[in-house]
Formats: sequence, C-alpha cells, structure tokens
Amino acid sequence: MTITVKLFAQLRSAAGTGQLSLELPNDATAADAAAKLRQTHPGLETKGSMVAINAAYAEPGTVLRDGDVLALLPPVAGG
Amino acid sequence: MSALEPSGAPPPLASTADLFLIGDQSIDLPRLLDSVFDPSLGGVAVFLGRVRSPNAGVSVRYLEYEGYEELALKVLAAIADELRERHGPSRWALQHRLGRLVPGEVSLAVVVATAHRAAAFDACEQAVEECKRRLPVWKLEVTEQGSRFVPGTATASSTL
Repeated sequence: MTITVKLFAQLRSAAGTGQLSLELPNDATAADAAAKLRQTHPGLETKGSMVAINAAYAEPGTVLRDGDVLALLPPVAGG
Repeated sequence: MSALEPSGAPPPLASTADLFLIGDQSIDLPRLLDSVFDPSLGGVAVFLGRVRSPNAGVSVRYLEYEGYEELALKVLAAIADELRERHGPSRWALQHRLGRLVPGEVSLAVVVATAHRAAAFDACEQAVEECKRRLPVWKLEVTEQGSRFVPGTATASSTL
C-alpha cells in the first residue's frame, strides 16, 4: 500500500520535507511506517512523537490502510 | 457594529456558533468578541498570548509558528465542546496564529462567554491550558544567538 506522511517541526527539518509518499506492506502500523522512515532518513528521530491518522490522533499500533495520511507530531509547543 | 454592543438577534446557542481559526490571519479581537455575543451569556473572559522577548534571558527576533491546521481545528472544537459540557452554555472564539510573529504580536486568543463570571474565568483558563497541551502547533525561535525549535513538553496522545 501507499500512504502519505506529513512531518512537522524538528521532524520536517530533519527529513528536509514536510510531506512524502511511503510504500508499506499491507497490515503495516503507524509505528512500522515510522521505523521505515528512520531507515530511509538517517538522523530522523521519531521517538517521543505522536501520530495522527487522517487528521485524528491515533495509537502507534494502529494498522494503516492504503491512501491513509499519517502525520508524525513532535510534542506540541504552541501558545 | 460595535464589539461591545452588537445589533440584531444572536444565533442560537450551539457548537456551530463557535469560531475557530488557525492560520496566518491576524487576530481581530472585535470580531472574536462579536462572535460570542449573546445576551444570555453575561460573563465574557478574554486571554491573549503575546510573543515574549526576552525569553529565558535571550532576546527574541521572531517566532516562526507551524501547525497541522486540519487537526488543530478539530482539537479547538473538541476543547470547546468538552468545556461546554463542564461549564454549561457557552460560546467560544479560539484562534492560534501561524507564520512569523515578532515580539509583542498576539499568537493565541481565547474568548469565551458564559452565563456568569466564575465559569467564564475558569473556562478561559482551562481552554488556554488545553491549547498548550493538545494543539498541534510548534515554533521555531529565532534569536540573536541562532534558531531552535522550542522543545515541546506536551503529548496528548500515545507516543512512538
């Protein structure tokens, strides 16, 4: 399956892009996607980040589906 | 139309009457106040968060805010709904700016109208805290000494 990954703040900066496509085996989870990204983007530190799937906060163990938009979100720092 | 005394009948009390804004547009406080106008809601509380300088003893040139807008709008609506549940009928205007803001500019506005003052103060403070804790927004701090992403401490959801 193919998903879209959105990256923010430190993660966007480390990857050099805020959005990319990722090929994953069926039944891959959000955590699997993060692990693959760490392989393809050395220096990307995803530990401690939250995940959102299709613009809703989600658990890292959630199974992804083809076409999903996965966002990796560092701890927030608004205000 | 004055922000303090709007004319015309107010829209019915419902979450759809709330105003949520995330993005580059500047904060128009009279518009936010108008949006929470309702004669049955006699207490209105406002919190504005400005970009501060110096921060931690270092002079700030500007902050560059970024956010996940689609999720942030949902989070603002969830905060308003949860606090309406806790504090009763209320109308909300919640705005967080994104982009480059210099010291003194307002980055966050929380405006809430409730029936009485105690609920307005409480709901306003709790909304600010929930925004700090849950809103998917980040900031790059640019100072005379360089730039860094301000380390976030809040994770409202499970982490990797």
